[in-house]
Order: sequence, then C-alpha cells, then structure tokens
Amino acid sequence: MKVLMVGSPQPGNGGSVRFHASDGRGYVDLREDQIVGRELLEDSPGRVPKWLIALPAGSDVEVGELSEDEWRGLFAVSARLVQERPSIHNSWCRQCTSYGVSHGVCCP
Amino acid sequence: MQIGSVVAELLDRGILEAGECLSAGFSAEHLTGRNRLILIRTPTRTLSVKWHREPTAAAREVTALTVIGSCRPDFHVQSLVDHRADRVVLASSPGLRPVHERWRGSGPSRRRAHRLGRALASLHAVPPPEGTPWSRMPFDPSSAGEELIDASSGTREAVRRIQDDERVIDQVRELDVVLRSEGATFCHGDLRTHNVLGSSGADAALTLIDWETACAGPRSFDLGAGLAMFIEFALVAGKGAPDPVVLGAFLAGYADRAGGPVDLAVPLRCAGVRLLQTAVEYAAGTSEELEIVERFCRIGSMLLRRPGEGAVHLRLVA
Repeated sequence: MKVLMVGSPQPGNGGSVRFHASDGRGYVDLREDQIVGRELLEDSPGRVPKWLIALPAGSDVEVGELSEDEWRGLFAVSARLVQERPSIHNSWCRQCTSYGVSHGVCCP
Repeated sequence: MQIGSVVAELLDRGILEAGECLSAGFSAEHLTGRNRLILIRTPTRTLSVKWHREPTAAAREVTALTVIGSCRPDFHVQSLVDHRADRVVLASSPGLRPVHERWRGSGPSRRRAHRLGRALASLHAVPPPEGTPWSRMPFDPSSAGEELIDASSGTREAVRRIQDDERVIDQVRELDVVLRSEGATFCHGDLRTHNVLGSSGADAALTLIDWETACAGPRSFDLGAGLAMFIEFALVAGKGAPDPVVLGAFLAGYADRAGGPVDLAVPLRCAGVRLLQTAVEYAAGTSEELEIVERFCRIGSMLLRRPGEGAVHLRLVA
C-alpha cells in the first residue's frame, strides 16, 4: 500500500480528484477508484487540512509540481512585486520611470 | 564613469562627430558588473561602447563579429569602429533599442518572435571557428561557493535557496552531460532582452549584440535562453503567462530557418537553468528576499526538472 499526506481534495483533470501537497507545493491527480482509504489528520481553523490517502502499492500517480492556478499566479502582479519593482533592474532611471535610460531626454 | 567623459574621448579620437552629438541619445545600459556598456543613438547610427574587464573578452567579441559578419545571418551584425585592449566600439543602424523596451506596451509580437527564431537558427548555421571555446552552463549551483562570500545577502539567499534543492544540482549536472552530447553550433552564449536590439519599423531586422560569450555549443543552449527571455519578460510585466502564440512563433521561426522541427525537452531544461541564473542576477545587490526571485526559482526549477510539465503550462504541447 502507498500512503500520501495531502491537503483537501479538489476537482482535477478528466474526472480525477486533485490533492495538493500539504505544504502547498505540487499536487497529485487521482481517480476515485485508486483511493482505497482516506483519513482526515488535521482540520484546525486557519490551517490547511491534512489528509492521509491510501493507494494500492504500485499505483500510477500523476504528480504535478505547479497547478494551473499556481502557474497563473506566478505571472500575476502582486502588491509586493510592485513595491520591489524599482529595485528589479539596476538601470531604472532614478529620476523618472524610464528603463535603462539616463540621458538628456528624461534627466537633463 | 561619466558619459560626458566617454563622449569627449570619442570626439577626440574622431569616432564621434560633434554634429552627431547635437541630436544623440546617450543610454547607460550597464554601468556595473562584468562589463560596462553605453549606447549612443544618433540619427544615422547606434554606437555601442563597451568596456571589457578582460582583454581576451574584447578579442573574442571582435573575432565573433568578424566570423558572423562573413556568413550573412538573418540579423544585423554590428560593424567594428574601434578596438582597444579593454574597449570595443561598434556601429549599427539607427533607432535601436533593447527589445524589452519595445515589448513594454503590448508585449512581444508574434512577428518579432518569429524573426528572433530565424535569427538564432541562422547563427547556428555558422560553423564555429576552430579554437572557439566550448559553452559553459549559465549557472552551476554546485560550484557557487567561495565567490559568494563578498556577495550581497540577497544573492547568498537566492543561491542557498537553489542549492537547498539537491534535485536541481543533480539535474544541472545531468543536463551538462546531455548538452555535451549534442552537436556543436556557433552559439551567442548570452541571449537576453538586453542583447537583442530592434527598431520601430515593422520589417526592421534585429541586431544581436554582446558577443564576448560566443561559443561552440549545443543549439539548445541559445534556444533555452530565448525561451527564458519571454518567460522573464512575462514574470516582470505581471500581465499573465507568456503568450503561447508568441512562443510558438519563436520556435516556428527557428524551425523554418533550421529546416526541421525542434525537440523541446532539452531547450526547456536550459531555459530553466537560465531562469535560475536570472534569479541570482535579480537578487544581486539586494539585502531582502524578493518575490520576483522566488518566482524565477520556482519556474526555473520546474522547467529544469520537469520540462514536460513546463511545456504543458506554456501550452507548447496539447
């Protein structure tokens, strides 16, 4: 038997169930008929629920590192990203918002 | 280094004419790091003035430009104006700007991406001259050590974050072996948005600059860096994942010019290593943990270890 510790189930691809890793990184897609047992380990308010999922030994589990939502989130702007933006490139002009420019046009 | 003193010297040496300065734009692209680069945009030409830390690097750049210029690639090749031990002055057509500036409004276009793919394939058709150094991995996390002692805390943190994942170190080593088994082409070696210049005309050809890292190496090396360019731009812009149509156009441009389709697995892994390198570069000089660095690390690590998953996310496969 194979045992996985995962977060809450969500709809996955093609009728499968998606369980995110308990640390929020990565996920597995499982079919209901693959799951031979499950037990809720932790369900405290404000914390990510933890489940133990039992699978038959040798189960073919599709593991993913980034879900679609996580992938999209990495390319979305965030407040922190905006805040650190001026320090991202060394050559942002300090006197205006031009990138890589420090010349007579923007900064006499 | 003051731009004024550089211009004065170029005027003294007759490299720049006084009349050109009246309407020129002076842009300091890099003033720190390995090399320093100033672009001078006059109405008739774009001059690139570059200082190399090592004279051998300047010589490599001049040699590469000479070889490429004789092979009529699908991009503009800068012409040599002046060469001293530590400095090279090159000229190209007017109105050139790094592509990330051109992309800032609506992002990279399909047409320009296709052109970049073709340009890269035409470079890879050039036989590497004898004695060209073999390519080096852009970032080797297993060897980053003593040189970090004087690095900023941001750099140390970024490298530590990458080194903590042993799977990454193993995969970089394995990728190095895979790359050495690919045939050698003439590679740019440091493809990034700073090093691809374009003008505003719809049919304007691209100009590739910064040839000191030109090397004999696998084409996956440059192709990965090309893919990483689009991913880096999308990450910094924060306007969504890279457009699969644009990525597809880049790869189609390459395949059209190279005369065959591109196997994506190795280039995607190379893109991953390149993004890890980019993470460390973005962390340089900072003392805090930047979110953008974390994002580069996550995507770089995923592409390196799981190129198939990366291809699905980038919608390069069905």
